[in-house]
Amino acid sequence: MTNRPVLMKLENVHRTFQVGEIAVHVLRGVDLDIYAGELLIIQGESGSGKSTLMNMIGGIDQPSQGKISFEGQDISQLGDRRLTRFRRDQVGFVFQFYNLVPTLSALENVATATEIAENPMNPAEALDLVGLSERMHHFPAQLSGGEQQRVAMARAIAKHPKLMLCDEPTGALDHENTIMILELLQRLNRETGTTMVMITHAQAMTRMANRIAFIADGKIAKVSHNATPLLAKELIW
Amino acid sequence: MTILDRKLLRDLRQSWHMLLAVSAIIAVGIGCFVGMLSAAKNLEFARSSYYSSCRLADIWIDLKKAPAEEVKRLAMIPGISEIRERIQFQVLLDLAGTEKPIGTMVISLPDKEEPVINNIIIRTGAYFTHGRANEVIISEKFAKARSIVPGDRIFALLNNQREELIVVGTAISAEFVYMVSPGSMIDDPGSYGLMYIKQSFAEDIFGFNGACNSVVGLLAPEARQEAERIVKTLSDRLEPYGVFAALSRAEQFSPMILDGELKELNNMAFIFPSFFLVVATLLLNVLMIRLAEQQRTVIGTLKAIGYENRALMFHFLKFAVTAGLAGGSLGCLFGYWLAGVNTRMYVQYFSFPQLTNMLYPSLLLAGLSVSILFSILGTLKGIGHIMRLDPAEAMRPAAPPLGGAVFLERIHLFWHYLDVQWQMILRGLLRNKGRTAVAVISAAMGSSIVVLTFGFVDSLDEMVRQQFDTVLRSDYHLTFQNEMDFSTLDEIRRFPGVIHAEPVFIVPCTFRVQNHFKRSAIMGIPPNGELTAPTNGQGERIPMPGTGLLMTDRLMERLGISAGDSVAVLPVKGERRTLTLPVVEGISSMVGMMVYADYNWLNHVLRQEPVISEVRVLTAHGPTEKRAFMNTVRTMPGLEILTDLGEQKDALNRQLNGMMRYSAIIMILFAAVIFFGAILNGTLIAISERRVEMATFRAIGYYESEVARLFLRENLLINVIGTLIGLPLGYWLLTGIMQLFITDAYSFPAKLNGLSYIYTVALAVLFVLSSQGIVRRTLRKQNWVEALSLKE
Repeated sequence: MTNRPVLMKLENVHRTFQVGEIAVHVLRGVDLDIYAGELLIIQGESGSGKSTLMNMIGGIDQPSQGKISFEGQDISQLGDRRLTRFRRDQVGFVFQFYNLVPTLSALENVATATEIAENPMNPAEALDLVGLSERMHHFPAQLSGGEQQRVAMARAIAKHPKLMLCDEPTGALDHENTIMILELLQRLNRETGTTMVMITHAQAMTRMANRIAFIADGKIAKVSHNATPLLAKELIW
Repeated sequence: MTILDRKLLRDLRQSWHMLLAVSAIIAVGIGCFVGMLSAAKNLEFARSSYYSSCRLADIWIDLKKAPAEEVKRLAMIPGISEIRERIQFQVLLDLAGTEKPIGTMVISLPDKEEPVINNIIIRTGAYFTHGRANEVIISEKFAKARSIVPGDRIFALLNNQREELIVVGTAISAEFVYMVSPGSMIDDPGSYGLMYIKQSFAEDIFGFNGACNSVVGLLAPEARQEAERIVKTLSDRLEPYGVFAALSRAEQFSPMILDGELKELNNMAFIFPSFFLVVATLLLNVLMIRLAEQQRTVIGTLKAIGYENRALMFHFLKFAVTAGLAGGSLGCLFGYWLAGVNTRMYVQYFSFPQLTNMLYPSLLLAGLSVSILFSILGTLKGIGHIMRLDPAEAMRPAAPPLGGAVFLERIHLFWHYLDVQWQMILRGLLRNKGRTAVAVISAAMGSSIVVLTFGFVDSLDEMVRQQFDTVLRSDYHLTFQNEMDFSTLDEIRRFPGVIHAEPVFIVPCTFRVQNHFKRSAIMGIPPNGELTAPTNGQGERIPMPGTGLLMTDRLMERLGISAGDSVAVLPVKGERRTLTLPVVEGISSMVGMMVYADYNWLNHVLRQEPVISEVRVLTAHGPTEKRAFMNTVRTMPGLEILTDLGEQKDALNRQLNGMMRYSAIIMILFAAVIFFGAILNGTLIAISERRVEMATFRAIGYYESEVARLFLRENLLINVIGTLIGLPLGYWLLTGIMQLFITDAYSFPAKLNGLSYIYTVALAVLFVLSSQGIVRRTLRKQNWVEALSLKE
C-alpha cells in the first residue's frame, strides 16, 4: 500500500461536541493516511466515532483539534465556501438511506451533482455504469432499495470524485442487492481508480478491502491489510 | 399541568416562528376590524350627542323668498314638530392682507340666544349682545385658519354694500360637521367661511323683513321614517316661493358625508380584515396538517396507549387557538391604537365639540371571538387527519412521498429547457397542490391589497386630473347672486389679466320621470366653449348637442332613464312651466350630478333673453396680473361666490399627498405582513420537511446560497403567479369599493395606471427577496450533519 501516494492525511484529529453542559469527546486523536486508489473500510462499535470520522474525511464537519490534509493541502481550517468547493470537486457520498430527492427522477437526481461539477460525466452515462439506463426516468418511489442506492452511487461517481465515501451503503439492503452494490463499488474502485472509504458493520465485507481501520474510543485502534482482496462475489456471508 | 399540555407548550415553542407569522396576519386583520369599528363608534357617539345638543334639523328647504308667517304655518303639517325660518346668503369677505375676496356663507340666528333648530355651540367669545346690529359669530375652523378672534373687525360685501362686522365669538354647529365651498371636493377651512349674523340685521341688510329664504324643520320621532314624503309636501307648499332645494337629513351635505364615511368604515371593517383572516386560516391549515404528519407516530402511540380522539382534538385545537388568541390580543391592542390614529385624523376634517378615542370592550370581545373562530377553522383539516389516523398504522413511519411525472413534463420543449432545480421545484409545487394553492392565494390576497392601495391613489389622482384638467379648464368661477345681462360678460372680458371668459346659465330645477324626482340644476354652457368640457367615463370630451341635455349617468340611473329618453323639467325661474326635454347622452361627473345644455338653446326653451348666472374665466398666471384681477373682482357688484380652481386643486393635491399617501404606506405594510407571513410559513415548513434533502445537497457540494436559491426560486414563482392573479382581483375590488363610496355629492373613477401593476409585481418580488434573509438564516442554523443521518 505504501507504494501508493497519500491522498488524505489525518493527524491527531479530535472532535468534541457540546451537549448541554457536557462536552462529548468523540474523536480523541485520530491519525490515519488514506492512499490514492485504495478501498478502505472503517469498522467499529456503535458510538465509536466512525460516522464522525467519515464526516471529517468528507469535509462536512471539521476537527476541534488536529489537521486533515488532502493532496497535501490543509482542509481542516477552510471556511464554509472553500470546504463546500472541496466536497463539490473531490468527494462523492453514498448514504445508508440513499438520500435521493423524491421529486426528481433517477436521471435528474444524478444531474443534481453533475450540474454543479467542473468536469462531470453525462448523467445517463453514470446511470449506465450502475446498470440503470433502463430506469433512468423512474422516480425514487418507483425503484427498489438496491436501485435507489445505485442511483446514489451514480450521483456520487458522476462528478469524477477522487474520494468516494460510503456510509453503510448496504445497511438497508437485502443480500442480493448488497452483493450487487458491492460489486459495483469494487468495479468503480478498480476501473476508475477512485479512492473509496466505506463504513460497514458487516465483517465479511472487510475481505474485499485493501485495508481495514478499526476505531475504538475515538482512536484508530488497529489497521490491517489484505494482501489479496477478494472480489465481492467471492465473499462468504 | 397535564402531560399533553406540557407537550403543547413544547410544540408551541418549537413552532414559534411559524405561529408568529400566522399571529401577525391575524393581528393585522383583527386590528383593522377593531380599529375601524372603534373609529366608527367614536364618530357615531360624537355625532349623536352633537346632533341632539344642536337640535339638528331633519329637513332643509332653500328658496328664493317666502313670507315668514306663511312658513310658520307649515308647522301644522302632520309629522312636523317644529319649523324655523332663517335668512341665508353667500357673501364675500374682504379680509385685510388677503388678495382674494373669500366666499362665506352667512346664516341668520335669533338676536337673543335661544335653543333654535340648527343651533350653534360657542367655542370662544360669546353670543350676540343687545348693543350692536353688526355683530357676527364665525365658524371656529375658519376663524382659526384666518387668525380671527373675538373683538376683531372684518369687512364683508353684504347685498352689494361693504359692511363692517364685529366678531363677538367663534362657534361650531352640527349642521356643518364637514363643510366645503360650493363646487369643491374637500374641506379647506381658510378658503371658505361660515358666519352667523343677527336675524334683525339680516332682514335689514338683505331686504328680507318678515321674509326668509331658508327653512329648517324638525320631525316628530314617529315621522322620521317618512322624511322624504314630508319634504315633498313642504316643497310643494312652498313651490310658489321658488324652491331651489328640498332635502332630508340624509341628503343634506354634511350629514350625508358623515353617513358616507361611517358606511365606508363599517363596510371596510368587514371587507379588509377578511383578507387577513382568510389567509391566516389557510396558513394555519397548512401548519396543522404538517404538524399532524410530523407527529404521526406520536399521535399513533398516544392513541395506542389509550388517549381518546377527543383529548387529542382539544390538544391540537389549543395549539391553533393559542395562535388565534395571540394574534387576536395583539390585534385588539393594535386596533385600539389604529382607532386613535383614525379618530385624530377625523378631528382634522370634521368639526365636533368632542371626538375622542374610546375603548369598547364589546368590540374587543368580538375581535377576540373572531380570531378564535378563524383559528378553529384553520385546524379543522389537520384535526380531521388526526382523528382518522389508525394507531397501528400511525406508529409505522409514513410511506415515502410518491414520485411520478407531472403534466408539465408532457410539454417536452419547455421541460427540457429547465434545469434540474426548476424541475424539482415545479414537481414539488404540483405534487403539493393544496399547499401551493394556499401560497398562491395568500400572494394573490396580498397583491390585491397592494393593487387596491395603488388604485386608491391613482383613482383620486385621476379624479383631480379629470375635474381640474379636463372638465373645468378655467382658473376662476364668478357666480352672481342674481342673473346678469350679457354686458357683464363683456365687462369681465375687459378685466386686467383675463385671457378668456365664458358665460354659464344655471337653471335650478326639479327633474321628474314618473314618480322619480330629483332637484338639481341645468348648466347652460357655450357649445364650443373651451372652459367647460363634459366628459364620459373614459375622460373623453362629449360634444355639446344643439338641443337636449347631457346628464350625469348617476342621475339618469336615479331617474330610471337612459340616453334618448325625455325628462320633465320644472325650472325654478322664468315662467316656471314644466318642460319636456330630451336627454341626448350620459356623462360622468366626479362632483355633483351635473346636467349640461347648450347655453343658447337653454335660454331659448326658457323663452328669455340670454342671461348669465356665472362667468368662467381663464387668467394670466403672473402675480401682477392676478393682483390686478383680484382688485377689480373685489369691487364687482352682484358677485356672490368667487371660486379659485387653482386653490381647490392645490388643496386637494395637498390632502391626497398627505393623508392618502400616508394611508397607502400603512396598507402596503399590511400587505407585506401577508406576503412575509405566507412566505415564511411556507418556507419554514418546507425546510423542516426537506431537511435531509437539503443536507444531501450541502454534502454533495452545493453552497448554502445555492440551496437557498431553491427556496428563492420557489417563492418567486409562487408569489409572482399569486401576484398576477391578485392584479385583476385587486382591480375588481377597487371597482367595487369605489362603487360603495359613490354619493350624490361625489363619484370616484376606478383607475389603475399601468405602472401600478408593475409596482405591485416589483413589490411582491421585493417582499420575496427581503424574506430571503430569514430563509438564509434558518438554513444556516440547520444541523445538516445530523440531518444526514436521519432516515426519511
